Amino acid sequence: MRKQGLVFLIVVIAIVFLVNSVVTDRWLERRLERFGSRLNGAKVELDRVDFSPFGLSLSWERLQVADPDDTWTNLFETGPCALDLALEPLLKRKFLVEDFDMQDLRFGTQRDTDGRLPKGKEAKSIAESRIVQSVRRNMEAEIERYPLLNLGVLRGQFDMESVWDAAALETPGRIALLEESLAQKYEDWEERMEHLPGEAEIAALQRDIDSIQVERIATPQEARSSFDLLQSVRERAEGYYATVQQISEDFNQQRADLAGLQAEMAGWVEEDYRRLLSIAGLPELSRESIARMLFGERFSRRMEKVLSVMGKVRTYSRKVGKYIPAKELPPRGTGQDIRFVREQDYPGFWIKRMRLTGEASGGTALEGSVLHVVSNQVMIDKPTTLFLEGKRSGGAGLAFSGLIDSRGERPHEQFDLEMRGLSLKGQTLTDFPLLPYTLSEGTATVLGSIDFEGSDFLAEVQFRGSGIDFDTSQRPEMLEDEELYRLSIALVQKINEVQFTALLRQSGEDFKMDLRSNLDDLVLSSLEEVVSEEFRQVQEELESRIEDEIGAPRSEVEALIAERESSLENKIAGTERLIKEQLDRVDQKRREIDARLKAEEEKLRKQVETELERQGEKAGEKARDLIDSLFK
Amino acid sequence: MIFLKLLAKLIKILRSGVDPRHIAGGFMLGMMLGLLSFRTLFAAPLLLALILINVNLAAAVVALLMFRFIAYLADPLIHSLGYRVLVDFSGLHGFWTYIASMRIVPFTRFNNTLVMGGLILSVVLAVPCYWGVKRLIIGYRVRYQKKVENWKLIKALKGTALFRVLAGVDRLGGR
Repeated sequence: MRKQGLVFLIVVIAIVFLVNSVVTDRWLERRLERFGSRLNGAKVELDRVDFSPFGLSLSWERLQVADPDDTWTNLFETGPCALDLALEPLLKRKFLVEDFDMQDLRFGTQRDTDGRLPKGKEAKSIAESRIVQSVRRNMEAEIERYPLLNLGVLRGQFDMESVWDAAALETPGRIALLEESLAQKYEDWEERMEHLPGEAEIAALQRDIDSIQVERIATPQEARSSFDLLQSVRERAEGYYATVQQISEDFNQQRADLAGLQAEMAGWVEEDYRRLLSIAGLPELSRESIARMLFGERFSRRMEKVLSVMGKVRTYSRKVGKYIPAKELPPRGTGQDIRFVREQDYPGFWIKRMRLTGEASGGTALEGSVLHVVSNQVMIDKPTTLFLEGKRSGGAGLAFSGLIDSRGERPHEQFDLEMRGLSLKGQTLTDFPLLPYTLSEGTATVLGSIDFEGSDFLAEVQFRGSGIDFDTSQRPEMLEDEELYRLSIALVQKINEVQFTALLRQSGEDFKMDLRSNLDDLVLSSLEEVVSEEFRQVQEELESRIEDEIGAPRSEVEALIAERESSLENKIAGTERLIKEQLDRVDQKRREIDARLKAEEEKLRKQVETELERQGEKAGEKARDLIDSLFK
Repeated sequence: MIFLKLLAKLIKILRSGVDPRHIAGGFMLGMMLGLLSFRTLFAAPLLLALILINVNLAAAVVALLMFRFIAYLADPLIHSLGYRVLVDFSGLHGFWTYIASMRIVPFTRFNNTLVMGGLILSVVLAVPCYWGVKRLIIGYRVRYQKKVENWKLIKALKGTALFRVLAGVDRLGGR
């Protein structure tokens, strides 16, 4: 036993206790901030964290969670919060909180500093749930199909050249690449054609067949050796034939692929055309497209945010629920944690009840609770639920409820939102260029629900705005054109109520997005009155320009395909014909030998019969002589 | 500088009259700490042993640095070993689950692949390491100590003031 060691140990323990009282809070604050920031993808900041290791309590004065998409704004922030950790689970390295009060919760507050994470410390991108990615992709594609209306077209100020330059057609480049790849492919085919039996091989077959002179076959041995030679020629010819057949089959397969490529080429042109229309701001004029033009952009922007949150919820809830993870290669020095969970034990992390109070935008007082924020729902057999209610003077209010259930094979998340008496004053109704005015009057009710179960996603939104009045006191710059302005004013005068419904559904590969509003027909008929002719002219010019640009290279590729294919096809067919001819000649020769053998056989039989007859007569005479001599 | 320091410590340890068992013990504990890292509760008893038992601290420091470096290089292998023991041997899952629900034990972070791999490796190497180092020291002192001290390089090194200062560090480490 080392005495100095004992003294050293006591000193160290004393220092640890002293340092603990000074440093632990800051250390813990940094750890929590780092963990939260990594999870959030932007800064999470805590002020005045106080941890009492003896009292097992944790509190802070303020929590700010920056919005990763707008780092100068907080997703939310809280005022003072306090929680008590239970001792028994803590001894097992598990964090259990019975009650957690989160006060002064506020959303969308401005930040004093940028909430972006420093370079190199950005959050590791987590693999988003595949179904969320798929919904997002489909929704974006759907929205892109319907560009916003370009008022320039209506005013006759459409600048074709700038649209043309901005579009940068992709098809010519793609065609050039295709041409290169085709040239290479045909080179490969030419090489492969060398494996076809050549003239020399076929001539050798012919020689061997000709060397058999049937009329000279005189003995059975000669006939046998001719048959053997014929058999060998047949085997060779059949081998060549199989090679040609194989090459021919592969070639036909390639031709089918090429036919697909030609169809794809048409798709490229269509893509370019759609992009040009989108840049030009020339939407298709239909009821469906008008609904998307009116509310599609806004709806998709909001859904994007919702999907991003849903993706995170789904990914994390699956990740924490996993018992034995797949083997990873973690960064050096970190290793991989494998969780061993006993069903009757505490989960690693569990806040049983979280009470929330705060304020939403417009001074709406919020109150609510979140139950069972837990790292493993299966262990407690309870889902995470949340409920938030907001009230404001004048009857306005909101209610938000949610359920996150990761217990089963099919995870289930469900959220419902109801907002009533929402003031629309000062807001714009849509991004549609003919309705750019802010509203001077109007209230709205919004009902929204999202149901995400397994890989089935369903979102529904109903918006109802009533008492709507547009502030048209100032004429917007974009409506300088007198005719457009009149059209726009006529439109707003007809609108005093808006009913909009949106549905987004994905089930497996089936995707559906349906947007409707009571304004669709109204806007469509107004537009059709004034713009259909201008639209048609611009569309025709775009089509003709595309044809000028793409026609020549496309014809070149088509000619290349036709020319090379026909040359290769002729080669294959020619070789096949020659081999078949030799096979036919082999059969013919065989028949000739058979005939010759038959004739020889016939001849022999006759000779034998004649001989037998002759021998028979002789034997008869002898027998008669013998009998006569016996009876004499 | 670090290399010189290590060399000085090594020479000092080898030629001093310290009991080879103390050197081997220190080296073994240092090796275990090096392979385990300090982020597990397993390190606490090892540190306590280092502080309280009469083992050579300089040998422990040398071994600690050496095996920390080795552990860094062999990180993927140690991780694989840990993963194999924790995950692939499914017969042990019940045992791991049982001890994971005990008090204090989870703080050892035994369920981390690197900790488990390091623990197994250090336990397996402990006895051969102790025995090997002890034999090595005894063998060195009997056969090679005089020859090595007569090497020109060693004489030159020992002549430098820096070396004398660095070698003196060991005095802080007890025996």
